[in-house]
Amino acid sequence: MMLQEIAAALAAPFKGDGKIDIQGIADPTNEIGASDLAVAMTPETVAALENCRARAAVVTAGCDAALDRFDAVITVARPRVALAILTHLFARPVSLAAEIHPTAIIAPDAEIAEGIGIGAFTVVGSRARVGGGTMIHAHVTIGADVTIGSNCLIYSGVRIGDGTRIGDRAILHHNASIGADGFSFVTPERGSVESAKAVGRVEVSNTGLIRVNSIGAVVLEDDVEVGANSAIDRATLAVTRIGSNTKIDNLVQIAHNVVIGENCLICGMVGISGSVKIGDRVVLGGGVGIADNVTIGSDSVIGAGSAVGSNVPAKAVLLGRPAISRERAFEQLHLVSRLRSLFADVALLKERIQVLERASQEDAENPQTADN
Amino acid sequence: MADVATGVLEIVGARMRTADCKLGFATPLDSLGLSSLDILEIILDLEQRFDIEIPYNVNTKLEFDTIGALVHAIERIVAEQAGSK
Repeated sequence: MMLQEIAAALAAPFKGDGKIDIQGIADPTNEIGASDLAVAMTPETVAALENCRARAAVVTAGCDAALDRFDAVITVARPRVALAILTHLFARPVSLAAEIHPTAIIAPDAEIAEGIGIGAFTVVGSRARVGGGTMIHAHVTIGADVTIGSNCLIYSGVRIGDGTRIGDRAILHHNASIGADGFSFVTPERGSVESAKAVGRVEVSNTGLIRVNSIGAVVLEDDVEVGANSAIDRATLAVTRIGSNTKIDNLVQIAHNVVIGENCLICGMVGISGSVKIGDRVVLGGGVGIADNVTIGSDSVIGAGSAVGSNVPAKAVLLGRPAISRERAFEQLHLVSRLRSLFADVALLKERIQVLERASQEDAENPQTADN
Repeated sequence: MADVATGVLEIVGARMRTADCKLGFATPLDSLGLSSLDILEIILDLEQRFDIEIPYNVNTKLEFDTIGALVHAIERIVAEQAGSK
């Protein structure tokens, strides 16, 4: 690809020879070839340009490094957006042919569109339907009555439970589990959790655990991405739904009946309990935990490691365990850090009061001395 | 108050996330890749180092935008609070 084509795709200006043939993109702190485009949009990578073999570089506007040695330089305004475009232009091709591997087991009544790839040892269940252009790697299990849209990318080890519905262009990473049974149990009589919530004590013991089966489904709308080893459980009666273009990181647990809106970002190790409702464009930082039946308003941002135990309004910024407003969380951290000096101040004041009290007592016992 | 300047440079330097950046009085604080938690940690470290209380609200824009402005602010607070301790 010619450099000027890359600059056009980035909608960014360039200086120098636009006809240079670029074979790939690379980080100048690592091994880089003469025909690679050096991506230098951080201080570390800019510093590495000095000893870089590449003939061309892409840098951020305002970069003050000496760039004369390059035959061409592209200047971008928003480095992360530029990186997104560049990694699309030079994406690694899917390592799977658009054909069905002879070891794949496909139910006779499954509907497989033309031009899809199915890898070795993948199993496609009865009445499942897979749309055109979808690539399914090796060792994937697709249950009965599953619907998968077109142009999806499903990596090895993914398990998709019966009745799951997946839109177009979804990406499911290694070992994601979509549509397992929800974790739902009930005690025949009032149980210890109900007692603890009501009176703060355990007044009764659980006499048994009755399973609540999940007979609903999971729906992943268009352009959803699910990370490696993440699990999205199917609903009890209705659907566990992930809205379009929502991106889910690795090792995320999404329980039965959860409904997540569009364009959300769910970072690694998040745990979302049953029946939680999450609006659109919500961002959950790594390791956030959300209690069951809570509602999170649209556009909220919950900081990493927070524990959400009650409803969150729209556009809230929360932090901490339990999660409170960012302002209050910072104030609490600030005040707690001052406790050491507060204790020292109180000790000093106590000492001074004792001195004053002793003096006052002596005055009371010896009024004549006090008068003098 | 050379010790204030030294302390500020040391405390901020330990938290900054950008490489190859030489800290000086003119260095803008927002050029150091600091998160809001980093800023709070810096405030806490400064309070402990100089035995002062710095008025700070995470949702309010900092009144000091450079290392130099931060040094001057700390010097002022140290002078103001010297008598109250």
